[in-house]
Amino acid sequence: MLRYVVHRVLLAVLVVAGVSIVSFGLLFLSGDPAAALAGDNWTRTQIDEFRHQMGFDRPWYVQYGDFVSHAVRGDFGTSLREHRPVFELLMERMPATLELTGTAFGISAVLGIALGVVSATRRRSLYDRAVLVLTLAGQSMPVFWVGTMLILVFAVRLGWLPIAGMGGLSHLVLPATALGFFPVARNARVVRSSMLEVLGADYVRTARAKGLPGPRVLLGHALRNALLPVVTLLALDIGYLLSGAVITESIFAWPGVGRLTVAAVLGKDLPLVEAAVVVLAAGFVMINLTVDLCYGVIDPRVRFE
Amino acid sequence: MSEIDLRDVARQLAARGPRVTRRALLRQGLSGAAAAAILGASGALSPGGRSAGLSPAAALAASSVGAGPKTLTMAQAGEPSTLDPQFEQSGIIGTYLNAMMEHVMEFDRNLSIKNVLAQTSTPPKDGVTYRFRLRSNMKFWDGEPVDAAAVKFTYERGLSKDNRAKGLSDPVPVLQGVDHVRVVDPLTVEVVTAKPSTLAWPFFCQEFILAPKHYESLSFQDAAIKPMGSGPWRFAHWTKGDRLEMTANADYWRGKPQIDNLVFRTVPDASTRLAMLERGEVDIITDVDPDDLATIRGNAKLRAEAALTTFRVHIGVPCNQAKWKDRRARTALNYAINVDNIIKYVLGGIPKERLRTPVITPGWPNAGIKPYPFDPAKAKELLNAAGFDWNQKVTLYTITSGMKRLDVAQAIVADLKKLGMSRAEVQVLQSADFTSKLKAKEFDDLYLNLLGAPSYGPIEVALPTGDLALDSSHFTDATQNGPKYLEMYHEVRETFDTRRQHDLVNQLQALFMEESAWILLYREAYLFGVNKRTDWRPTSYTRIHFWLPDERDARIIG
Repeated sequence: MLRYVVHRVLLAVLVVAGVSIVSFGLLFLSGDPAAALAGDNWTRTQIDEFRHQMGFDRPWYVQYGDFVSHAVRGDFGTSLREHRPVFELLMERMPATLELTGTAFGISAVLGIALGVVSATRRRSLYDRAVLVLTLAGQSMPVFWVGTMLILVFAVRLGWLPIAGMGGLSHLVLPATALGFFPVARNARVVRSSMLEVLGADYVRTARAKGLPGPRVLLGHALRNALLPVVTLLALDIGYLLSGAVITESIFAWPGVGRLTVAAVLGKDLPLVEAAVVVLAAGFVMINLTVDLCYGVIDPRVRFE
Repeated sequence: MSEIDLRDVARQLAARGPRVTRRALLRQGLSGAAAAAILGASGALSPGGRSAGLSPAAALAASSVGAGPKTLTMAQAGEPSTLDPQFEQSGIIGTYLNAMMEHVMEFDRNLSIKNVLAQTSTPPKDGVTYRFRLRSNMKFWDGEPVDAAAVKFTYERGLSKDNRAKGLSDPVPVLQGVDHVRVVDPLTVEVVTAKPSTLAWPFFCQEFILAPKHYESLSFQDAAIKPMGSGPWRFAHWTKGDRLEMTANADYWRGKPQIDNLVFRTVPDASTRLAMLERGEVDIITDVDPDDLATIRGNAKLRAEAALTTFRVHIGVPCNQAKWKDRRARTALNYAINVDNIIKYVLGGIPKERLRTPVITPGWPNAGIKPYPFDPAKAKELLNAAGFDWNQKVTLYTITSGMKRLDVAQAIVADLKKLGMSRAEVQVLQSADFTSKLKAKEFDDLYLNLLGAPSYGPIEVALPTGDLALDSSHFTDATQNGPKYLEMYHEVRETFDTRRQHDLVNQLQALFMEESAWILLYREAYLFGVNKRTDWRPTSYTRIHFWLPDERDARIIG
């Protein structure tokens, strides 16, 4: 077990390093950051001086090495546009992103599993068909369209909720629902099909034959086994939610890390982009690692080798 | 399994006590997710967000109609990266700072220069010394006087080599060629340029005067988020990415503004901004798409406003490239593109008319220069005479931001294709990459650009030289008229005689237009949606200003 964990942690470090190298390389190839950052009226000489001052004239691997050597000590550098430590900027925005993705994740997990279970236990009923339609629609509609529709219906027409911005529960409902819509649909479909398979298994029939109460059969024997593939999906949801948050944050004017990162990419703010990529990738990798390690706890048949 | 009653499940689950088993772990996992949702929903994870949500000004923003403090909320697509005016020169930072900080002088609605902090302003008699007598009893929000020392501090901070090495990029003192600033007495200051330059004058409308003690005491990092000004609204709170709030400055030298709270919301999505305006969550929205004008005009509570800006939209023609070296080939482009149709059908007639010359300030355009008619036959004739290779690739570079920029680019390319340039195409660049190419003068083909300048003829003729703004046309170094233009431009810079200035500016326009280094199109318009309870109009130069010289402040009238 320990060997497996060490192996996975090392792999995780490699993944994060790979992601940061690729993002650094792409930004490096996309044009001269000195020219992009220089004032409009700067002369060529001034731009050259600035490039030298900022170290942009060094080979890419030297610049990357410099970034890594500082990053491992917790110093991600200073934003080239905002002139503030990038880690501070990220942490300023991180709570908003966690609030949004956390809520969307909660919605997708709870609602997705509940709808899947209901649908499977009432197969071919009106409920089941309704859930199927809902999941089909949920998986077909892009987040920006869902977001806009939610705004039009619940904010503009009905006036129940605010349109955009932060400010408590009412502001969170629409963006979290829009962001969680797709994973709810996907989780419901997976839980339904997984439950249907498990409900027909011999051990479930045996459990019922023993006279166990329905709920115990459903949750203790069926759902527990049906959830294994769902746990994997839930971990992947984090990645989807973080990437989807970029669009959702723009539509609902949510001040999160996604918008900050997009602005940094467009403005060639290298330290900020690198820090954002590393922090988000590390978070995603850690969650996946944790989920992988949890398999052994969830399913005793899983052995780490 | 359909006989299983889910209500039973819920009841039995509720009746069970806690057990630390794998099963419990699964349950706890689900509960944790739900808890995260509730915690998130309560806003407990978001310190920045909560302050935004609960601050008094923000609370007022959503329901600002009626008695009590008056709040005006504006939603814009972006926000500045800093509130230090000497570190960023974007239009968006001006929007924020115009409400909080002031210049020595300011352009009014008719593009005339008016005194603001200055009571009197004297152009140089010796060619280099600009003298200002400031008004008395003006104060920054912290009580520090707005005086000659503040003007001197602002300029010296902007010129400091150490500061510039740290990223300070204030262009004003550099463009003005300021040598030093002299304090004559507490309210009299002289700004001295290194050599005679008439161009310095309008730039006094661009340098925000800073509070010396405040900015000396702060690091650049802190100054970026803690502005100090003397303007009609005081900085209150900034939640980056969400909103910036200001409150009325009761001690303002022109009197307390009627609007108590000014809130700038950052809302990137255009349809979201429009929905907020319709719902009454905001009073003004910027960057309205022309396609949304019908929605705004169809709402009895709203009105649309357009600001015809001082940005000249044009096609830059790189005169140093083989295909555009011949003047006739460049001139042909003027005849090939149906600019009137683009204005009418793509832009909905908002820019009003085609640009004739790069000079737009009233009184300065050369009246003898007429716009080119749309004449494809003439264009073909000129291109053939220039030996133009019709099979070569012609690229028009553009960015997507701005009013219908991509649509305009596509309409231009469609005209070029109709003419016979079958390999004409649009290439979209990211804004930063487009700017980088401009700065490096690296465009290898046509580019759709816009350039702005302070409204003053002698400055506007500086645009094609690259001295003032980014131009990649190589007009001055790759055309016949270029060197002569530069020579005359340097003369106009040092000429203070008004009649001679007009004469030179007229000649410069003729020289420039003869070369067709730019295919002039129209003045960029900015569209706004405004709640009718708001007494506010945009302006040409600053676009968004809530208290212009010689006018009363913007007001809530509903």
